[in-house]
Amino acid sequence: MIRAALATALTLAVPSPARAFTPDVDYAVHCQGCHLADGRATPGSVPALAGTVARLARTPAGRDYMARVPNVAQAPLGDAELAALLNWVVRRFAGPEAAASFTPYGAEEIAKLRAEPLVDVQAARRALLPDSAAR
Amino acid sequence: MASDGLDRWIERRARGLARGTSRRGFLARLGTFAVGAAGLPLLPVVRASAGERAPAPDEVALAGKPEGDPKRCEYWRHCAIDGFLCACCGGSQNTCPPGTEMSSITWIGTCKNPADGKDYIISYNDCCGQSLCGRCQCQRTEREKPVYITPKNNDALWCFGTKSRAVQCSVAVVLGVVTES
Repeated sequence: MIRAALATALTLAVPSPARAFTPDVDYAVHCQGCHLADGRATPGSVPALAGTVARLARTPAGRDYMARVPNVAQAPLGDAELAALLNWVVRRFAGPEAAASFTPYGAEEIAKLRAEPLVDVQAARRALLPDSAAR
Repeated sequence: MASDGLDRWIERRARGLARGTSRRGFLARLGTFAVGAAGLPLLPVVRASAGERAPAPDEVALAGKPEGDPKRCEYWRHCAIDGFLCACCGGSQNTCPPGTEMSSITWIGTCKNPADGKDYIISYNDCCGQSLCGRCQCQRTEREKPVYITPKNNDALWCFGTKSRAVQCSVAVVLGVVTES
């Protein structure tokens, strides 16, 4: 009972903030500080988005992972804004072929995914991208 | 026969080219190009432009005011900075002091420019590789979060991916104008 109530509470949608920015601005403010404007890796510190997002976007597990990574799931953005930001990231970094076949995230999907904490990020990443640097 | 004609045509072109150019002139132009090309990376706009994606905002109206002075904590771009101001340390609001390396990983916030009333995306890159500057310390915290929300905290040292983790000062580079959906 308590567990069900907790699950309901966790899946409540995060409302949009008072001011909503365009996805490119949200990327600059919330992601670019580490992932840089072009999504390249900083070896030893930050893994690449460029070349990685396309691989993640291809599978359901990768799709879930992208929305559950801590700094994505916990970004101070409403569900609709976060969905728009992730869809922008896929368009920007996955390349035209992968982006064209990608079904965009919706706000409800984001609400559900961000309510399921990803506890061991590195293990999840290793399972999805075994040949990719963890940072 | 056709071959003779071709030979003569090439000879005329070669002699004409030799008459119309001088080795000294060529060397002078080459030297100008080489010096100019070498100087390009020294221009402040180029050195700061890794992420610059918009024209510089209008700051003329702020001349003479604290909000327009990069050496003051009140400078409008400093609304979320925490550190020593590079403009007081041999650099500028866009460039690191000589002998330091700008960290590409950075803390990013937004500030309102009082000259035009627009919000701008500001990147507070640390300049790394020398000890703390010690001049013009500034700490402002607009939209900054506690340290347990690390990506939104400006107390952290942001010298990641640099040769040295020693931080000297921080710049405040404009990345673009905030646009709302």
